[in-house]
Amino acid sequence: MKPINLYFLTLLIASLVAMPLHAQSRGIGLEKKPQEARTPYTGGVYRALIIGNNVYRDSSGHWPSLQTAASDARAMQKILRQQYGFSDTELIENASRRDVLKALERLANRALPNDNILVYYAGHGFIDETRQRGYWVPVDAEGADNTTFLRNSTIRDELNLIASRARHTLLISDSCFSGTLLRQASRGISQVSNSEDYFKKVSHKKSVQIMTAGGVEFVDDDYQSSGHSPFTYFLLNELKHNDRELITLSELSHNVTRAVANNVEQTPESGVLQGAGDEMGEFIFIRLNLTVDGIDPENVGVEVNVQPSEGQMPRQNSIRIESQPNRFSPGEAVQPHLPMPTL
Amino acid sequence: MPFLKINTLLPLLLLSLSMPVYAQNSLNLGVLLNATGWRGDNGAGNSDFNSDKGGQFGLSASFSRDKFYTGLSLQGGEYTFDNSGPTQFSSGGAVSTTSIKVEHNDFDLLAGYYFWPQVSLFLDLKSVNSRWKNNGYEQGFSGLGIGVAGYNPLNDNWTLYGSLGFVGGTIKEENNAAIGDAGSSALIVGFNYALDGHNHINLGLKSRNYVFDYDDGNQQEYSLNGLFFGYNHVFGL
Repeated sequence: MKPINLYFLTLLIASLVAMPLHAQSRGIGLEKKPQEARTPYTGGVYRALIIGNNVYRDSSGHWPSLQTAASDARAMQKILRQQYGFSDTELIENASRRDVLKALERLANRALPNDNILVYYAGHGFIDETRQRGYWVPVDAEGADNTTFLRNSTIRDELNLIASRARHTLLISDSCFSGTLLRQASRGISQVSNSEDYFKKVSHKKSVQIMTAGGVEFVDDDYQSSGHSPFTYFLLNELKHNDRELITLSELSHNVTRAVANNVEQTPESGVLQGAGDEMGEFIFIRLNLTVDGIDPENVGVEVNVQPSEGQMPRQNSIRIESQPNRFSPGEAVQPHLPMPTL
Repeated sequence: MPFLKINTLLPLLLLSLSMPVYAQNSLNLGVLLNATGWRGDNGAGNSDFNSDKGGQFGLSASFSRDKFYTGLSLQGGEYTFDNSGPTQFSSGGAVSTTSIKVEHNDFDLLAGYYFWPQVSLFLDLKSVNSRWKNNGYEQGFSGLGIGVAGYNPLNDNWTLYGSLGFVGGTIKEENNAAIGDAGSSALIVGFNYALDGHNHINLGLKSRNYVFDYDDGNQQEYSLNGLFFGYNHVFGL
């Protein structure tokens, strides 16, 4: 074959290689890629570790199984991925003590300096009233032996490590007595503003925030047979019906607290993790709103490319329509590291 | 590199490195072994030629920022022709060659941009140079080419990738005298395997085709086709 004749063959082959392999649907190009939001003005990735403990193994019956913790966790993962651009989420159902610690370690290893990291826990909690110590109760907890629990100080240590590596860190704990995580740390509701200057300011400042289902009281499991705890029910509700593109944790917490307190004997609390470097920044949720005719919403995600240029609001940035990913790739570059093409 | 002025290339490289783009910076250094054969046609009434030994070694460095990339690549090697070799079509007349060794070098300076999620377009300032070792005669061409590159991930580790492009330029001898026009095309189809986030190996097929149209009416076509194997190390910046 003369070299010149290879042109047409090579053009055909290269075109096939270069074409995205995914189907077209009603004129909208779809590709497999993690949906992704980036921190306004700083460009970090949104990551989440979500834990939901339903099935407790304790043979003594000290820790009965819960009805809604796992579904709370699944619903949180779904809404964070689909509507808030969390591109790296890890969901663990029925986590043992080791599972929780290993997952926190993995999350800390993935954390990058501008990242937004959310840890969500739904499951049993415990308070040692004589020592005023709070705990998460993993599924392999053994009766009242609190050495098999996860002590708040351990959780705070792990959160401290994550917070030392990321820009914004948020712990949401939906368990009994979770308010003990907030000991000496409550900040209450800070300034709430919709101005660009405000979002820019709190986006650049480091934050290490905590939001809990209650103070030091018992919290309900299944709210009005909704399949969710009251706290997570109203949290999901607030996230789902939020019509603002940017919402800070303080504002979200304010709304959720009011809704929960108005409906059940339980008062969520929020604040900062003491000693973890919080600079009065804010964890900002970015609402990504998108529907595509003819495509199951489960299979639609979005990526918002937020350019961290001065004076630009995220709402002005481009939105690209993409299908749901089949795997996540935390921290991966937009393009893979391939050899440079040459002629 | 007689046909490409470094004082032209350097500002271009610096300019491309300084373009205002977004995060995700990486530096990619690569080495490449190219088991190519050199075969071609010296034109009507002249002999064909086919190398008996030879291959190329390549080095590359590229920098990428988000959807933008730029870099340079140098590939070169020596080929042995036991019988007919590529004819020297020079301003002094044609010189047929047999039982000779010829060096063939390619230098590329390019910049590209992912206009689509998995497909990029790139510009390549390319210089090709051949040196006949029997008498030291050199000629080559340089010009600006355009190409398209794309990839498709197969799983967590393997990625299929490819590129295709064309370059046109003027044939010049070592005294910088223009003696014709030349063009080349290149096709790469390969697989990249990510050993981890920083280390990658790649293998595939690379085909380069060259056409030289000399002002005296002679034409020479040849191709360098073969398998390649490479290693790349990526530094996050």
